[in-house]
Amino acid sequence: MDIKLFNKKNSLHHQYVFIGIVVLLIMFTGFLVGQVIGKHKEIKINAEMYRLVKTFTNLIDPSKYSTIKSDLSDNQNANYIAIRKQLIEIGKINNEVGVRWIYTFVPRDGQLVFSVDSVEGPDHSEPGDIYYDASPEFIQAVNRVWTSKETAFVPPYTDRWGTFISVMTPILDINGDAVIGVMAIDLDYFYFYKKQITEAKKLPFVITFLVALIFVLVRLNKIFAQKKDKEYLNSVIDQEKHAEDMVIERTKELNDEKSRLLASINSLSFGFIIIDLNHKIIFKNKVVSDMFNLIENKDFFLEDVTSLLEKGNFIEKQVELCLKEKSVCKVKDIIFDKKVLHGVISPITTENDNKLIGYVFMLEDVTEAIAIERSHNEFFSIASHELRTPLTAIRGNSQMLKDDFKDKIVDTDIIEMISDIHESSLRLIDIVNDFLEVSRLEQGKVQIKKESFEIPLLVNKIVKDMDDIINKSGLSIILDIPNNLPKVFSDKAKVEQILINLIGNSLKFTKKGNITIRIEKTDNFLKIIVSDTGIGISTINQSLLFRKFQQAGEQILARDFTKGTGLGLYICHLLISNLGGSIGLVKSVLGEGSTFAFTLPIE
Amino acid sequence: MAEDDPLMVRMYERAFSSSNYDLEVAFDGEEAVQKLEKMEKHPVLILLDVMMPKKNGFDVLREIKQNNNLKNIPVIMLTNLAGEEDAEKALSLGAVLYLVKSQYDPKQIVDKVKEIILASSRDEDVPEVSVEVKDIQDK
Repeated sequence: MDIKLFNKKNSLHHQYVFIGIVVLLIMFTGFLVGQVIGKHKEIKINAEMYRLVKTFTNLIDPSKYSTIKSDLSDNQNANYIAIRKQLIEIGKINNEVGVRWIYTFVPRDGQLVFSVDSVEGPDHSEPGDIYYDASPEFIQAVNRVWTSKETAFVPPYTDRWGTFISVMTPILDINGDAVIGVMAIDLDYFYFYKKQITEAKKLPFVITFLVALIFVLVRLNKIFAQKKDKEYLNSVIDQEKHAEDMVIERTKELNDEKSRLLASINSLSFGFIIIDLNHKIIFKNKVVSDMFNLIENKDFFLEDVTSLLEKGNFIEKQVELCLKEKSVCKVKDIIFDKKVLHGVISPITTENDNKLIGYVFMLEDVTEAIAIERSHNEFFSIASHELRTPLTAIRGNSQMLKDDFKDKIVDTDIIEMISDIHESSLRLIDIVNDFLEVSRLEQGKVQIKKESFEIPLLVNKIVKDMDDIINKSGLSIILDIPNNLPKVFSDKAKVEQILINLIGNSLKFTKKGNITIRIEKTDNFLKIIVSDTGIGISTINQSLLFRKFQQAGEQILARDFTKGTGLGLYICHLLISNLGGSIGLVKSVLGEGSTFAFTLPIE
Repeated sequence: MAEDDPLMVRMYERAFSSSNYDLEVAFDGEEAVQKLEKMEKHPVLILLDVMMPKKNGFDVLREIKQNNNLKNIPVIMLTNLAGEEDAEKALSLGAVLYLVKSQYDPKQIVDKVKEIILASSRDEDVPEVSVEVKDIQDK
């Protein structure tokens, strides 16, 4: 670009030189044309003078002219007076064509003597006056006319009257043989002759000057336009250069930023894919490529990835749903090449108008984690089964010892020990059962069998089943159940389990008073409320109630007196979650009692 | 009774004999099937464990129900496998009860057996299936 500009600058100088030369040529041409025209004008004027002088001479009557003596006596000669008058008239007429003087004279004794002078006023020459200051060229011309009878031209000369050119012609006698005088006409050299020629030269000069001027103007205009263009071009180039620099700088910054971002994303331990709305994969990190054995630097679409997956991985539908909701959502576990992948879809929206522009698909390989979890759960399951068998033997045998050998075992210590063994076995069995149930619930292995049933009937059945234990506790059960309650649609056995757990808890933690079971109807749910007049739960422990291994004891190491596993409410919480309801502590005051409630969807 | 654990066998033998029941025991699934087929006098009730050597309880139950001579004998599954799906499977194969051993004292098992025998002798429907219900009385 710079080199080009340099050339342009050079060419600008050339253009100026070119204009100069052309102008000089035009002006020189004008000068030449002027010279030609001037010469032509000069010839024309001379020819006219020749014609005039001859015409004037022909007007003079030679018989009359011959009477003129060229001395003062002529003033009385009527012919002289008439001829002079004639010449004055002719002079007046021809003054306009530049004729200044018309006169006649004769050479006499080597001098020129005026005969008839048309001039009037102080410059008038009387007949016989001597033209003493005649120039040599004038005298030569007169001699030539006098001897050769030819017309002669006198180039510019100066005398006492001014500077003139003259044309002279002989005046012949009546026979035309002898020269009796010379007639001359003078033209003012500066004020007419030269002026006429100069004026004639002026036109071509003016024309060429105008042509040159137009040429110069046109060329200059072009040059200025070019210069302007060049300046504009330069400014554009400068701007471009600046913009280019800015772009380079910004690009570098962006690249640095991109590199950092890429490095961060590539260092993630999970698969990270950015996908546009056409499901084209815009970016995927290395984990994804490794996960699906994808080739780098190749365009991929979501379907390219999903086509690799085993049947039953309906990712596309889940993606559509997720994008519609514009919210982060988990997809069903993806099985690929014996790997289990957890997938999360996160829609990408613009900050300003929340417009959807694509989504991020994150994949985590949980194969190992699941294998560990599975082995953990299987261990739990087998351990539970294997624990139950000896526990059953301890339970059964101790029970039979107590019942069948009453007569033989009379030592109260032994009887007490056998009872303790029996009770311990029962407690252990409960613990094993709870552990196993939690494990199954957490794995989602518990089947829910929903049916339509009436809660009041179930409550009555449970209370009836628990009749013995309630009687033993000395507590009274209050049922506050309105008539005409709608049926619920739920798993009867699970609801029974939850109710037994809640009532059981109340029985465990209440020394005196009563247990109330109340049922309320809300919009779409039935609310079952179990309250007691028991020990109550402190505020600190209330928040821990539905967690694993939590009981309402004040401290973790200070266990309560009920000898439970602390899994009961946690199991209830897991069960009710599976039933589409909720469970919680309504209120509890230390020393006054607690109220628990759970909801079930109405049929 | 098909039961591989001698501890269990001894305990239930005592419980049933004290209630004047004769208990014939097989220690694995195959033995159970063979004994049942050879017995001149069929038992009034069969107690089947699930996890046993050689042949599991479900397979034994399936064979019993396919055998015309045996299919009418009521079968109680008596196991420590507490899975709901196991219970469902047993009932669908034709067991009348699915009892989790640890949830019952031997005497209670004997009582259940008595109930079933009584009901079947009266040709009544057997009582509602029992599956692992928590026994809070013992807590």
